[in-house]
This record gives sequence, structure tokens and C-alpha cells, in this order.
Amino acid sequence: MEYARLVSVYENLEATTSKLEKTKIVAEFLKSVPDDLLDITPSLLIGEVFPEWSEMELGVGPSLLYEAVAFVSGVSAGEVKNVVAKAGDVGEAVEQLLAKKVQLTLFARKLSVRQVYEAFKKIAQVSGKGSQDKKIRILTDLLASASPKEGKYIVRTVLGELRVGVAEGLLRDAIAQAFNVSVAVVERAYMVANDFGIVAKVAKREGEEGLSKIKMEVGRPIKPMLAQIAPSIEKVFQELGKAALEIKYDGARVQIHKRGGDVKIFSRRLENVTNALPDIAKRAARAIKAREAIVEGEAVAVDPKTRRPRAFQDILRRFRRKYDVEKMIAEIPFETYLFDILYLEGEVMIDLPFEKRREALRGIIQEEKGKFELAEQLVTSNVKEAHEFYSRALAQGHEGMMIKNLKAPYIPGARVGYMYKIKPVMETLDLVITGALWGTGKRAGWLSSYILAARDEDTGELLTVGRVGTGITEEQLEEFTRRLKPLIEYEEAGEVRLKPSVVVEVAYQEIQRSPNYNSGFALRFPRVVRIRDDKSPDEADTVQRIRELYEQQRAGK
Amino acid sequence: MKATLADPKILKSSIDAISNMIDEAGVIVSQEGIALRAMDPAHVALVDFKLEKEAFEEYDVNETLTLGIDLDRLNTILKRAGSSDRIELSTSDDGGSLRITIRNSATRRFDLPLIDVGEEELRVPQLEFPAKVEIDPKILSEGIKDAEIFSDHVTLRCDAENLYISARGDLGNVEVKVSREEAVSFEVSEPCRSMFSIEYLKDMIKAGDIATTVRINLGNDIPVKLDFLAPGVSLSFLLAPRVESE
Repeated sequence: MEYARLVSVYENLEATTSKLEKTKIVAEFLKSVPDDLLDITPSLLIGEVFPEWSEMELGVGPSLLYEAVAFVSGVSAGEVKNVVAKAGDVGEAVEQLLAKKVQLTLFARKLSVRQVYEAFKKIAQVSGKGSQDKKIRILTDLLASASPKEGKYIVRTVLGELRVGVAEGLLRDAIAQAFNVSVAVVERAYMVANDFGIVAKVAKREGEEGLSKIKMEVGRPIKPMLAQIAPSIEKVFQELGKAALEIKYDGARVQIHKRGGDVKIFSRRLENVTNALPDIAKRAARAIKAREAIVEGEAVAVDPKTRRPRAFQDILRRFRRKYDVEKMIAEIPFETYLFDILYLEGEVMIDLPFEKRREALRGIIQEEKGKFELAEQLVTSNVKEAHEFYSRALAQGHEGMMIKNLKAPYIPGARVGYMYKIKPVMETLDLVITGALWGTGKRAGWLSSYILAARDEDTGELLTVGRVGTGITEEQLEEFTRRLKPLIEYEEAGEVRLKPSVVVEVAYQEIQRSPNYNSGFALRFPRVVRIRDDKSPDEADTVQRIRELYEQQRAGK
Repeated sequence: MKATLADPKILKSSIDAISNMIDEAGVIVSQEGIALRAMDPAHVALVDFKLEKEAFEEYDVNETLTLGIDLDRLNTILKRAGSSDRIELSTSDDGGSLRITIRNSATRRFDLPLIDVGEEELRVPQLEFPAKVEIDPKILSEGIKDAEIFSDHVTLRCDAENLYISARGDLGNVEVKVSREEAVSFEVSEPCRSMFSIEYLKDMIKAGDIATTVRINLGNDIPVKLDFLAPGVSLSFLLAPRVESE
């Protein structure tokens, strides 16, 4: 299939805002995709190259990309930047530049979807010395064969900003429509497979029957189920009657996959962090008494002397560590508290009620006290006991408490009312930094004020909810500038637009309605709490969630 | 394999001309000689280079090998060889590197690790050129330097009597004329013209000093092919034209 065909689908998608229309376009297109491309095309439609569980990453920032564009279009990288700033969009700019290209090429090669994908794959696989140059070369080679329109979508895909308004939900519906299967079955298959390519392929070939047979695979991470904020302990108990209480540790979530003696650990972002956490891997291999299992828990760093949990930053430092891992283990020892099981000896466990899963988990874990054990749990219907449990968790320095529905299944990637969290501080939002302002005066030369955006669940678009410039220490200023500078796509009047990549946790006083931002909301007195390295932009909070919080806030007034 | 060159100039100048455009390539070593065919990443220029075994003083190759070579690095090494040095090419004992031994009053040995290059076969476009003009490479190289004063692109043009190398820019223009008589050989079946990037041509004419003659194969708005002619070696560049924006 020619890449131009996919490009015309992108264009049609961009031309309409109707969800129904978009779903239809995607469904019709998917029907026409040949079998051997069906595993890669669905991801490309939502602007991703590799499925979420994959460890492959393009790792191409704006400056690298501009060099390739400059090379192909015969202008300087500086000129590329100017054109991008004028167009206000990298894709549009590249389209213009390629259209004006005066240097012809020796061959006109029609790009196929497969070729574009293979080039992306090569870019992701390049490593070691000189890898930047190699990436530029592969991109140049790709863009040299691209028509202006193809170039537009290639660069947008590379930067992770496809902007055609298709997010996971829409793709799911389109797969269902294309292959005549129910949305619920597709949804469920996606949760287990975590890969739209696999889902689309099975949907086409084997229909609902095949989809319902898709199993998890040890080694391929599953999106974690997320907790909702409890309105109050009382309200949750009113709803659930009886519930399981667990400590909410201020740690990092880990998903541990075990097959035989082989253990893999995945972060919340589904990154393989096994190499950074050999201590947990070793304990898991010993403690999990099952041949095949996927379990979930929290890795917590506790100060051995005071027994208090350490700062979240310390935990992330360990997760990111690539060398001197042993030294870090000694410096920041981890304890692991398990709370769920998703897969056991060939059986998918997520449909079982939580109490049954917990029982199964207990059955296979040989605890190592203070090192690798089950999360402390109290099953009760007594609100007073719940308050006591909560106070005790806080007194021990933990973040808060989880309240879990005993009868609920595990729903990967969803934030549903099966699991509540309660913590004393005001709920924060995790938002993507999509732009920044150069500082003035003492802050000249630093990127000092950041534009925050939330994700629109339906379209995948990032919509602005405000700006934050306070609550930032000098150290953070330095770190933010260092991390954001390579993400600059273009600048205009002291304002820079960034490739969405960095997620920050933001506290605020209130959510307000606002016509100033395209999300329709604004945060009052926002303040940066920390960088959320454990979250990717697709995991940022959504505009829908902000609306929910806004309504809760109004109801509470 | 083992191949010794008594005169390093041909290899030095050829690689110097090629390596600025093409960073890495698969070099084919066979019983006939050493060959390289590659295209630059922007698909604008293509090089076709053959060093026949006759060009070597000693040539001992019994199999066909493809060696993935970082040409930039090779060029840096070859630059270290003087005009009276002998260059010996071989593979390292473990087969993982190209070994370049430079011999004169001392023996200098360089091992250049081989790299993985894709094995995509390059098709060379088949073109009919209405004009084939052979001239001294120095004339071409000087003409391009003249053109560079005013522009970053140059027009090559032929009529029944002359070859013209010309450029125009905001600050002025220049024309170099080479008559039929001044050329080594002159075959023009119809007038033609095409425009090219000077940046690419400047690299290509670095190969001028290996040959006494360069054949310019020209047409109307089609690629130009430059053949540098010398005994035992064949070096050709194909360069895509630029669109004339005026």
C-alpha cells in the first residue's frame, strides 16, 4: 500500500471534526488495509509508530529533524526554523519547503507504508556513537522520496504530533465497525493485548471469537488500572458497603512478569526497567511461586533508619539508573508491596473479583518481610475502622489510602470506580508542557514560564489549561531549561513551542471556566509540584477529567 | 584479500571526492578489482567507482567481498599518505576491519572497523545524453569556481559550437566558454542546458587530478554525468538538476 493512501486518510480525518465521520473514515480505511500491514497501520492512525508496550522509540527531536529537512529542501536549518515559526506548525512548514524544492532527485520512488515504517524502525534501532548522524541520514533518505504532503505527515509522526483527531477510543470503535464486531469485545481484547495491530488483525481474521481468545503474554506489559479520587471515605463506603483498604504508598508502580526463572519489570509507563531493578527481579524470581505470572505492586524506598518513605525523586533516580546500579541499590533500597495479579499459569485473572485475585496472589507469594510482601490490607465495612487505617497510614508517612471494591474486575488502563484513592492534599493534575516563555531580568536565558495542556480523550489533542511560572526553584529552572530546550519546535516573540514530552504534576487552588484557553478551563494559582518522569504525554490528565473536577468543585461549594 | 597500490593518488583523490557526499558505502572487492556504487542520502548524486586490478601493483583476491566502509574515516586515513607512499589494503585477521598499511621509511598500519551497510541494489537511471563533451578537468573546475563568485548554482549549456559554464546572481554574472576546438572531443546532436548545485559539483571535481580528461554528458533538464577517464580506473558521477526558478 502506498503511503500516499494513508496520507489521504489523514487529510480526510483532518477535514472533519465529527467523531462519527472520523470513525467511518478509519473503519473504511482499515477494511482496505492488506493483512500484512494490519499490524502496523492502526498505530500509525493515532500517530504512534510502535505499540505502547514496545521498547522501541524514535528519539528524534526538532533540531535533528530540521537538519534532515534542511538537507532535503536545500535551505539552512535556520531557514527551516523560520518557516516553521511562520507556519505555526512543523508539518505545514515541511509541506511548504518540500513544495518549493529546487533540487530534483535522481529517482522518483513512491513511498509505501511499509517503507516508511521500516525507516522509522531503523531510526529507533540506531544506537551508539554517531547515532544522531545516522538518524538524520535515514530521515533525509525518507524525506527525499516524500511528496510535500507525505513529508508533512512523516514529520508530524516523528514528532508525535499527528493532529488528525484520532485517539484510542475512536480507533477502537473504528476497528469494531470495520470488522463487524462489538466495541466491548474490541475494548477488552485491546486491554489484554495492549496492541491495536494485534487486535485489528484478529478482528479481521477471526472475529469476536478470536478476539475473546486473545490472552495476555508474559513479557508484554498491560496498562495499569487507575484509581479514582474518593469524594470522601463515607461516600465510598455508602457505595460499596464492604471494601478492602490498603496503604497508598508513595512509590512507583511496578508490573512484574515472571516466566520460569525469567523476570521482567515494567514501570507505569510500560517501560522495561528490569536492568535498573535487579534487586526486585531477584526477589520476585524467588518469591513468586508460579511458573508464569503477572503481578502488580508498588516499589517503595524506605529509609532504613527512620522507616519513613523517601522522596519520590529518589525512586525515579533508581528507575532511570543505567550504570552503577549496585551502588544505587545500597543507597536507595527498595521494598516491594504487591496488591494484584493479572495472569497466572495461562489463565487471565482480570475478570475475577478483586477478593479472588488477592486470594490467588496470596497463594503464590512467599513473602520476604520488609523486602517483598503483600500490601497491608484490611477488609471492613466499618467507616470508623477505615478512618483509623487512614490516620495510621498518614502517621507512617505514606501518601494516603486505597479503597478497593472487592467484587470488581481489573480494567487495564481505565480510571473507574472500582478503586479509590484518598489523600490529604488537594488533588493535583498531571499536565503536559507544550510551550514556554523565555525569562527576563534575573531569569533571562532560562525558560521560566510553562504552558500547560491536558489531553482531549476523544481526539488525543492537547488543549491548553494555563501557564505556570511560580513555585519553581532555581535548580528546577535549570533542569526545566535543560530538558525543554532540545524540544523546541519554533519560537515566536519570546514564546517557544515544544514537542510534547515533559509531564509535570501541578497543584492549583481552583479550576475556572475560561475563554482564554482552548480547553475552556483555566487553573487558578497553578504551582509545579514535580516532573512526572514516570508519565508520558498520553498519560496526562484529560480535559474530561478537569471538567469532572470542576463540577465536583462546584457541587462542593 | 591483499591489494597494493604503488601510486596512492588515484585512490586518495577519488575517495576525497566521494566521501563528502556519501558517508558510508558497501565496497565490493572481487577478482576484477574494487568497486563502489552509492547514492547520497538526499538522492541527488550517485557515484560509480571502479579501480581495475590492473591499477594495482599487486592484487590478490580470490573471492567477492562486500566491505561496509565509513568513507569519511577512510578519507582521513588516506590523507595521511604521501604521494611517494605505497598503500596496501587488506582485511584484518579477524575479518572485522579494513587494514590500510602505508609503507615508506616506516610501516604504518591502520585498522578501520567495517560497518553494517544495507544491501539495497542501486539502479542507475538509463539516460540518453544529446551532448558529450570531453575537456581538461581543470577547465571545469576553474569554471565552477568562477561561477561560485555569483551563485550557488551553475548552468551547463551546449550549442553546436561551444560549451558554456555560466552563473548569474544578484551581484553579477559570469560565463565561461569552451569552444569545439578547445575541447578534447565534442559531440553535440542538439543544443541543451541544465542547472546544477555548485556544492555537489565542487566535491566531484576534486577527482579532476586523477584524470587528464573529464567527459561531460549533458541534456535538457536531466542529470549530468561526469566521467573521469584514466587508465585502470573509472569514476562517474551522476547529478540531478535543479529547477530553474526564473
